[in-house]
Amino acid sequence: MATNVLAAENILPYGLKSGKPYAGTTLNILSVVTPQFKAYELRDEEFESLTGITVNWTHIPFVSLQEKVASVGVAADGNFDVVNYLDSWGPANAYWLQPIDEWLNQDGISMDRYPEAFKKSAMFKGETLGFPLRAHPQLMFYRKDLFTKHGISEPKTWSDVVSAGKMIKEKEGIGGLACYYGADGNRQNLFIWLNYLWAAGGDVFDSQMKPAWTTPAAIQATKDYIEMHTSNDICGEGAVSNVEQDARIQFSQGKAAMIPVWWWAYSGFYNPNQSTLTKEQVAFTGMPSYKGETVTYAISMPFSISKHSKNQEASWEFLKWLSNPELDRRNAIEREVAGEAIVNNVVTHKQSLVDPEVNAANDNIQQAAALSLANSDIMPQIPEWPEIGDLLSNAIQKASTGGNVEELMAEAGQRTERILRRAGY
Amino acid sequence: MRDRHLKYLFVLPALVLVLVTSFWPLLQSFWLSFREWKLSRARESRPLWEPEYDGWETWPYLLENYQRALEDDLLWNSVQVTSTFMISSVIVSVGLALGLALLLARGGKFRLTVRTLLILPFAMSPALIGISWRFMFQPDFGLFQAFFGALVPGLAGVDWLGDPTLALIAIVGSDVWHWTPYLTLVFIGGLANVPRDAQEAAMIDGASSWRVFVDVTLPALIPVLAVGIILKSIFSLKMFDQVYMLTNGGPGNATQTLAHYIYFHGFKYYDMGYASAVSYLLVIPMLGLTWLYMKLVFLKR
Amino acid sequence: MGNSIRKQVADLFQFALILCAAVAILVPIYWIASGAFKQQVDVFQLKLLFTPTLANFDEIFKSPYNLHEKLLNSTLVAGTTVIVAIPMATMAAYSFSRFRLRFERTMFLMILSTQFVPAVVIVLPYFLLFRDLGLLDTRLALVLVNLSLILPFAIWMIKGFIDGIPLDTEEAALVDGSSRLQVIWNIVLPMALPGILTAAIFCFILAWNEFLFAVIITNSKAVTMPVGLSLFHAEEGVLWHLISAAGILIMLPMFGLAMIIQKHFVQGMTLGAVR
Repeated sequence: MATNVLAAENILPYGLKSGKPYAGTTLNILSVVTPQFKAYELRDEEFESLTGITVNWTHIPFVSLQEKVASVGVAADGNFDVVNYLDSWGPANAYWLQPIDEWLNQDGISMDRYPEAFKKSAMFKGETLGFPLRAHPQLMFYRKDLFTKHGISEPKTWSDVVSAGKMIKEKEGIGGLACYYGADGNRQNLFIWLNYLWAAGGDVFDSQMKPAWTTPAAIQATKDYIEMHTSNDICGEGAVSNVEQDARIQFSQGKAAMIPVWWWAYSGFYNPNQSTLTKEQVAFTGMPSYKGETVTYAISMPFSISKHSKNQEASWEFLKWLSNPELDRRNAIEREVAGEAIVNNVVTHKQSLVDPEVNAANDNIQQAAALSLANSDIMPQIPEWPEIGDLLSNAIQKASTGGNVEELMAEAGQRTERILRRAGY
Repeated sequence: MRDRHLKYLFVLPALVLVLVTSFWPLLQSFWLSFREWKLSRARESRPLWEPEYDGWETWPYLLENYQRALEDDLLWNSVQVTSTFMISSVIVSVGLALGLALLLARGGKFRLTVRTLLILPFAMSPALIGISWRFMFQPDFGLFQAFFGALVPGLAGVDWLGDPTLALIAIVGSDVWHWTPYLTLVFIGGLANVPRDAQEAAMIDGASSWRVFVDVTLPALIPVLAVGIILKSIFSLKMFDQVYMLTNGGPGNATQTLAHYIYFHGFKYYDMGYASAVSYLLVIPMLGLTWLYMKLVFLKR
Repeated sequence: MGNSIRKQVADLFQFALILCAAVAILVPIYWIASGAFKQQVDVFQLKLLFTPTLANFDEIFKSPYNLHEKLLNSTLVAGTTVIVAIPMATMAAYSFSRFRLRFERTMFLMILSTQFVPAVVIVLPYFLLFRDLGLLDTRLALVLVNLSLILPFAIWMIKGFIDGIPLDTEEAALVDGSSRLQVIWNIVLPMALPGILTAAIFCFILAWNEFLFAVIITNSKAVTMPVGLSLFHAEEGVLWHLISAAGILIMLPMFGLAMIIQKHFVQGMTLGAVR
């Protein structure tokens, strides 16, 4: 009796179970390659000493992650306990991912600690599949020096972007906006299109799960998105074949003056290894509004527990540690972990976004992000989304080379209806 | 040991190994093409029909994957892209390789040095070639962009990878660059065994070098040429890495080859049953090609 | 006199063509390779002059890339595959070429037809097979997969070369009393050597560059070079400076192998002439 009372006093942080009940277990984690997660790996000694659980990380580059995660599901032998994936692959893999709602209730953790979009991205059909550990809002980055030089103020609407872009192109001879209309199977040219679509009041699917991008408002939004290049010609070189990566390089090499992209790209824009720009030249602001509204697209990479894992309880302990708010904060403040230099500005907890120390260490980018996240959404969560998304992506790419927007979007709509019918909607 | 037994013994190890390593997965994927295997629904495949239907009615369901494939116009787009790609890359690379082989087949230090270089393009992985070519076609800083822009004035500001035709040319170009040097090596090896006495006899008789080539060299090269053509054709039909890295089927679907289409439906859209069915559709032209080859070669005897 | 000038012009013309070919081969390689000596930010410039650095070669061997481990795995896997496959393939190729066998067309078609199906469709059946056999993340699994990929081509290519060797010498030797095995060893192999080596290098390169099976079947222990190269596709973009450095390192041994093969090529050619 007395020993039980004493044991209860050994309360571990992060809600971890005291008494090391899973000591000796080894967990296998499948994760994407990124400095943020590298930092977690370097810090996991803390977890190991608190719980006695050993953690093995396998890092896979993003380019092969989808196939790898699919093979883990097919193997169904628990070779990985915890897996990391892109949120749009979540619905397709949900059948073998363990929902964590019971554990969340048991340990008093609420998903409301995350912004709405991030929370949604880790859920499917009302169940929570995991924690969004790496999640991004969009921001508009621009060349402060060039804007100051020509007396242009920070763009607040997409029309501002167009006029600023025109002026920069004329006066500086470089692209105004680093556009990426290219379709490469990653649906990146949809990221900004969705902003236009949602701000116009449209959506991808309507309540009957029918394609809704052929409504007049949606078509107009699509046209405005594409006409930045086709009519207004503010884009840098190669807009119709560039993908996000090419656009980031274009901005870093000083060949375009603005770029709408994920917040994590910030440090790369002034890193002398990757960019010709200095910190003073790069500024950021929230995403521009369209027709008076700003809705932005957010993305995340959640971590989930495999249903086939033989160590589900231990995996839950790991997830609790991995996602705890304190670690979230520290990972964006500390620039060195176990002797290795790590630069990371990604945080996912609401409280980290407004944390003064986090903001101070990152030029207040989290504050801008919080504003961006106030009105943001994610792509439709259905298993068929990758295929439908690719249809849209290809249609937009073709439109950007001068194709007829109505026809292309209508065609994409017809194909989508066939896919949805076959899937049973 | 008598030849009679030896000849089967020679073939046995290879045959057994091929059976053991290749056949089971192939049979399994063939079986899968008649089933539904959606990696997004379950880890196991399931039959395309419900058992309650009577025997005759199950047939259309069995072939559902194949039917869907034949009805998909994007599939036919891939067929067209693949055929164009295959025909152009085979003709260009085999033609260039033959010419180069004739040029390089003699001795001499210069030729020896160049022959050593021939292995390099093939040694690069197709994925690396794909991504390097993409890099070199970048409008901002690409090497090819600058080079061709300077060479052909019309191509100066053009975005290669944004234009359907130019993108396909880029893919064919990278494939020709990858394979031609290796095929040259193959043909040089073949030229080494062309009977010299027959060539010399023809030349002594007063035949021009062109006639010697057509009447003596070319016929002797046919086995090796056939190998080169069929080899290149089969690999063209299966080519994936370069398309994936260079254009990823873009712009739009303009460079989406069948292999790319299959890959996307299998791993990106999680529909393995359908992908298997499309692959087995691909087997038909390949079987045709091989049958042609066997007619050519086995018939010689 | 006129003939000699015509010959000189023809020679010059040939020389020019060969030079063009060499340049076409080398320029892209040079451009990619030069990235290995550039700093990351310089890679995206179209400059011929830049401050060179050797730091990239250092970085690729450190964590998280650890290229040396991947190089070792690749060499073992590709090497074993070729060493096992080539002798078997040569024997089978000889038999298909010189003999009439029952069902030879069927056997041949069967062997070749295993190559018709793209890898993506059979990778998961293989994956499940290896999982059941406990061979996941092992080099043995990769060797088996690569054998299935290259054996058909090896047989077929070598057969093509043997087909091109005239029968007279063999038949003469057999009539003289040599056994079949002696004929193969003393006569056919030396003459087929250029072809066999070409096929061998083909198979080595195919096994070396194989990516899809490697990425699905391996996790950490048996990871090969191409999967290692994909690590250079970082989140911020392709790390050209590193991928070029790795690329150079891969090409160097191939270059060395090719130089060795060239010696045998010349031998093979002169053997044919002396006959």
